[in-house]
Amino acid sequence: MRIGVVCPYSFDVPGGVQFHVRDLAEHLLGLGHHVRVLAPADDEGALPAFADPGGSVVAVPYNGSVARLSFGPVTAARVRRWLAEGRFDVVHVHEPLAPSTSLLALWAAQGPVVATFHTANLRSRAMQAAYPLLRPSLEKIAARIAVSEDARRTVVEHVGGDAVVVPNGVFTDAFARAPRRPAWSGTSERPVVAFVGRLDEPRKGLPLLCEVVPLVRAVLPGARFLVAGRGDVDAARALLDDPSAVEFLGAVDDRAKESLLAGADVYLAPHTGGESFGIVLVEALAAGAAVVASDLGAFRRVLEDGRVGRLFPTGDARAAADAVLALLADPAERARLSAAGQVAARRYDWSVVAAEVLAVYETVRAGEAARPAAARRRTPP
Amino acid sequence: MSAVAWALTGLLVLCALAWYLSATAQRVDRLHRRVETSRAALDAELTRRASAALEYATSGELDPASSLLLADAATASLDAPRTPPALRDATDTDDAERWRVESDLSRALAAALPERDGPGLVRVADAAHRVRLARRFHNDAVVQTRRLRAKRLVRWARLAGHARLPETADFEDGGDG
Repeated sequence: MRIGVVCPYSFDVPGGVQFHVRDLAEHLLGLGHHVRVLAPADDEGALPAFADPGGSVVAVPYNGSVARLSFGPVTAARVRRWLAEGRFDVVHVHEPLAPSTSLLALWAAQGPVVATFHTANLRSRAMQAAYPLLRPSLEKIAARIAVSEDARRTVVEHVGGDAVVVPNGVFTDAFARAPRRPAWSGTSERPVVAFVGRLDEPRKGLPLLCEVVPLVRAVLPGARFLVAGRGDVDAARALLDDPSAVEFLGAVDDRAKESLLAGADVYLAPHTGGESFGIVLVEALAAGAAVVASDLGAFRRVLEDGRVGRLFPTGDARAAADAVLALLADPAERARLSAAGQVAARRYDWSVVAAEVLAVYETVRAGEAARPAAARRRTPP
Repeated sequence: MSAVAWALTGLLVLCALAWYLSATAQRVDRLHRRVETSRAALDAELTRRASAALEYATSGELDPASSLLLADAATASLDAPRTPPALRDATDTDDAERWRVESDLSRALAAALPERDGPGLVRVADAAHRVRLARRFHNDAVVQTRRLRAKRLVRWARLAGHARLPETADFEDGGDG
């Protein structure tokens, strides 16, 4: 199948949507499909081999944070040409409402379009203002995918219509087989609690984690807290009474993240909101860490309402610390959660997720192939 | 304002109206095509599901009672009259009987399929999953088309031509939503 995937955000900054697009493209290529990705970039140098540059990158505030997008007449022309030259059987647009290559691709598309909605927190005022202009483009989408129930609810409430849920994918084997690093592995005297997330994004929960640390260390002075993620380490240290209580690893690559999660006894997800899916939770489960997470809707679903991980009331540091301490004191329960978690994580493996995405492509194509001849004749070439 | 200015303003308004009408007509046409495509996809997936169910029923993997029940529901689905997907070909349609038959097949599948795996079962489950996808995509297209066609402008200017108003596919597909 010839598949064109459009990513609205530049690959030069890591992000959930970019990783999703990259991994999906790699997996579909591995299955023998022809895949091209279009993403904002000035030239090919900054892009993976399967991606084409969509136009120069501009950093603009969008939906609550600064996004690196691409728009304007040059980009619109490039997108149009890319679609024409690609002769795709299916065009898969990610985050179709992002004012970037995605929206432009939707505007220019003639053939069948599949769209994936990632966000669960669209700002509705902006949507309502722009909606009459966007509606004709949105009507071109033949199949909508949402990455989570929360993202689907956003589609239903703010965009109208419905979407099928196909979750984010994770290469679970990479986490399950990750080699442990002795420096990051927990021992019975010095258990490791891990956290991965941006330091400067309060919704990721670092401030709450900093409240949990002294509560845990009051009971277990040997407990180590390893925090990986981009951001200002000095500002993060300032939140702690004892700055040496937390080891900040900075931004880590994929291999390091896999090893960190595989060596951790407990993964703590203290997020306070803004999470649509919780991919890092799936990664921690796949790596075999026992997970303690705030009871956000997305996390509850990944943890199957507490069956494969512990939940605590969002924002409650005392409850989080108690849950961490209970698990650190109970190796048998940790082992049980770890085993259950690794089974649960398989549901999010790319082999499962990509098959579901392909089923959506094929359903859309089934109609194209079977469409009445009279209708096909009216299609512009 | 002079007469020329009035005439120019009038011309401008007329041009804007003409542009808006033609853009809306294009939207209606595009949505009609989408409904026809998604309906064709739904029909294809329903046929695939019925064939897979019939094949599974006759494979000997099931007990005779379940086999008979499933084969009966699958045959009824394959024999049900098909509505042409093209919106302008059929002036009067009634899919109620078709959807009743498809709901029956969904229920028969739910009752007959055991909680185990097998090569035949995977095919049936996959076909049933695709029916759910196709139905959701089709109903989405129908709802959007009906919303646009309910607009006064579309009705007064008869932008929908002679195409019939599409209807959602209301049958049980075995999904939970």
